[in-house]
Amino acid sequence: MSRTLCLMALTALIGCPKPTVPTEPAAPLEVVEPEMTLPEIPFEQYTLDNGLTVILAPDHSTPIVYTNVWYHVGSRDEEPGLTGFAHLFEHLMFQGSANAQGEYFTPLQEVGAAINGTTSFERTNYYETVPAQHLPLALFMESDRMGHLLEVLDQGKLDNQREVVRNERRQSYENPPYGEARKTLYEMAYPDGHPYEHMTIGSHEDLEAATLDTVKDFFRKWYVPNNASLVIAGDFDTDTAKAMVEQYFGPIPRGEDPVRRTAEPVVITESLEVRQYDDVPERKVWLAYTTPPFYEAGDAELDLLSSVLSGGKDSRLYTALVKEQQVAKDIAAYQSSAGLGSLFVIQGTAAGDHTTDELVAAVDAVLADVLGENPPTAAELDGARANFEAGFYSGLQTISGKGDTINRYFMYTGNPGYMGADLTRYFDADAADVVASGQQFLMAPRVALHIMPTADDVANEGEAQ
Amino acid sequence: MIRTVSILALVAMTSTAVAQDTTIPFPEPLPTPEFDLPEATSHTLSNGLEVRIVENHEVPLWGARLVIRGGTGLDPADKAGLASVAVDMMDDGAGDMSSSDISRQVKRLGSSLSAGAGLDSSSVSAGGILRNMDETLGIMATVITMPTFPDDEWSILQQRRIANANAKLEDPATVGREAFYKQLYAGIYQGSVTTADTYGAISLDDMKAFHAAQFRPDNALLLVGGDIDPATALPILEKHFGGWMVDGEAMDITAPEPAMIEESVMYFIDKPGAAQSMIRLGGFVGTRMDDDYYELHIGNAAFGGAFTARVNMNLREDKGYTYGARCRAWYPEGPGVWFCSTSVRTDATGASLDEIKMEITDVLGDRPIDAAEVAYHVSSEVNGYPGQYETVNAVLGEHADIWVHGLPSDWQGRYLPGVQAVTVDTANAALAARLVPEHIVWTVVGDREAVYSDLEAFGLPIIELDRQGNPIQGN
Repeated sequence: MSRTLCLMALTALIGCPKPTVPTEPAAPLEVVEPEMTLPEIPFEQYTLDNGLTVILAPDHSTPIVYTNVWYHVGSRDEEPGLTGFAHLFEHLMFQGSANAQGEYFTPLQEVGAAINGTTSFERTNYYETVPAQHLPLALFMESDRMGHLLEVLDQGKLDNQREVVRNERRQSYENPPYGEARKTLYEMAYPDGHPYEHMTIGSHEDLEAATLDTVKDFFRKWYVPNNASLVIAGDFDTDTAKAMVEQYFGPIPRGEDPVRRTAEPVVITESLEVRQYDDVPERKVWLAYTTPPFYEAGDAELDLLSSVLSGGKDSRLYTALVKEQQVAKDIAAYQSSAGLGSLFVIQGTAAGDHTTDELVAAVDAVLADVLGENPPTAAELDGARANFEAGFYSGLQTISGKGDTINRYFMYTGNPGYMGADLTRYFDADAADVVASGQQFLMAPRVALHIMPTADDVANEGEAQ
Repeated sequence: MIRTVSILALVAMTSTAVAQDTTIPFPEPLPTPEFDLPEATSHTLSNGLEVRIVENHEVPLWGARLVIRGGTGLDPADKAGLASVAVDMMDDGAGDMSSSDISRQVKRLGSSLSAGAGLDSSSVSAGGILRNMDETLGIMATVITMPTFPDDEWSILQQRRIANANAKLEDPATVGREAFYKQLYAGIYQGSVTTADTYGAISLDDMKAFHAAQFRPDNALLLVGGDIDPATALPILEKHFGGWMVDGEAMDITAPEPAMIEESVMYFIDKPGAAQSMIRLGGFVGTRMDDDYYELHIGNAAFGGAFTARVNMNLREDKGYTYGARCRAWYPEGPGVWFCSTSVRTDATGASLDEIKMEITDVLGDRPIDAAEVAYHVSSEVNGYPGQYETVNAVLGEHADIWVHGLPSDWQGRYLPGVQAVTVDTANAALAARLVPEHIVWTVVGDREAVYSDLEAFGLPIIELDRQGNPIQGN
């Protein structure tokens, strides 16, 4: 039931009818060679009595199966003073549950599973790829920590994992040069207390203050089946899987529906600049603009613009800054999409003796040009679209890629089969749309973070700050 | 001393779960499905270029990789980085295309094109949407056979590489890794560490010479996979690569001889104010053709390779000193390297070193790998085997590896029997033969003021290095 579209017609804008309702099977449209089909992941979705959403996506190409549980809670839901809790909790989910005590990894690694969990602003996910015959084990393990974690959670586990997480913070954010740049950028872009104003890793202070009671309250509030979605992708029999899901997850009681922290879209109304001098080797700068949320109007347009700006050695920013003016060693632009609003980020490293101010001036000139006299060409946008298309297919090569994609679409759009519609966003945007989004969101106040070697501070003493 | 929770105890606990005050037993597995290793077919183009094709029709994508023997292991000492920049420059101009032309055309096709050098081999890879395979392969072939090495592109790349070489000195993780390999590879690979000076010394002629010597159809393997079949793909490959001709004969690359660390020492690099200390230790092991290859693999999995291995269970899950600690062996063309690495809280540096040393002492002495650990890790490897072959890229990568290192043609088939034959005795014998404390070097990057007394207490001779891995005078 793939829908057939004509890629060349769409890209060359020669009048292929646009798709109507993206998720419905439609009659084949007029075919112009070469044809494309929108990527699609066959799935079946249903809900258990306790509210757990289940999405099944069989794929028998390799005898492995992937289970992925998304809890719809992330760092954005943390109240001030409790930063880092969602992620700390992720770690505690690997410390054993009532019927599977000991390390979560132990029984699964024994059957060759690949196991992990991640925490973002928006969600906390847990997943394992297991040999197909061990799907029962994966479901048993995931269900036991959803239903029976607190019975065996104790102070010792909390103390140990608190230390592990604090080491993760040191390793990933404090020891590497520029490791806290992203944190600073988000603090600059979002007002105090905004759900995105703090990073998922949290602060040492808040992590140290975490008590067993607050951690347990966090679980009771958020880790309920009615706040989770389970995806099973890979080599399994649908009826068998349904029976096992019911057996293991069915008895877990429904909880109260948690109310997520939310916030109105933030718009930077006044530009802000911060200059930091640190133990770093190079001059780097980050520019960030507030832009529309994931999947909303403008989001795909800005993705396309980022590709025109910095995708490849023929891109606008690379050509002007790295190749011609040689004020930048590297330059990247990307739309960092998120549910409550996104940031469009332009990040560069100054080349040689050039300053970040020169780099920013050159960026501004390129932006003015691409959003003014020299808008993206049809060829540039074709290339950008084709790259996104290839990226969609690329993500379908593994069952983990499929499973993540399905769960992401479900959480953000309510439709696990959103992929065709998602790609259509990119094919529907033309140069005028891209320029309009760029003008609206990038010709606007922004935050600018410069991080430079301490030697620069001495050289500019009296001028700094 | 209280030991960390052992795998054995955990396994025992899970199997007796029913006997505890619980209601949900561990499930039985379903029947094990059949698994057939994805096969590659072998072909030869009219110019003698060897080809492997792997079919996978899940998504309308394709991928190709041309791999050649020869990489950074060939770099001269004063021109470290040569292979890397030579290969990097190949898509910066080829035939009558400029760097921008190549980038623009590849992007228009929704394809990818990249090139990179490893220690023993280098490769150019391309891939993308099936309908654009033919055109993209044409660009790929031009990049491989007719790179132009433009002067203006090199001046940009050279400045970037020099800046990167200076910048990496501020990153403790990179400093620690490079210092370790610099000590290990002294006398084996001349150009193992790149610096601003070595990049400054490389010329366009050096790169052209590297390309001419290594990128030849008789020193290359072309791997293609995806939603294709040999019947349709081979004529396209022949069209783009069949006319690739060169003179002379391919260079004979001799593999480095087996090597051994002569003296166990502690190399230390100061990073004032570091939040953590980077610890890396290790030494040489044999090759993949040694009798104890699979035995060392399982022994190491139990010792430090897996999340549930002794080292990580101790340092992370018991002590909370680190976010993670792992040990692994890897096998370039010369001697294999076994190492452990971890990044630990600064004030736990001495304690972490002691724990790692004790784990080594214990596994070689009073607490060898036991039967449950061997069974556990053999099970993990055997069960996880099909998952290693999920993507075309993974399959192609294994075939590239087999070709580059001249492994036997039944190499893939040896894996399961090899792993399943490992016993408690042979696993411990492999560890005893390969993890000899006298032949292990240690490196620590950390805050001198905070950790130096710990290092002294550790007992090994300390050699202090600068951030480029050179001994500091007076130490």
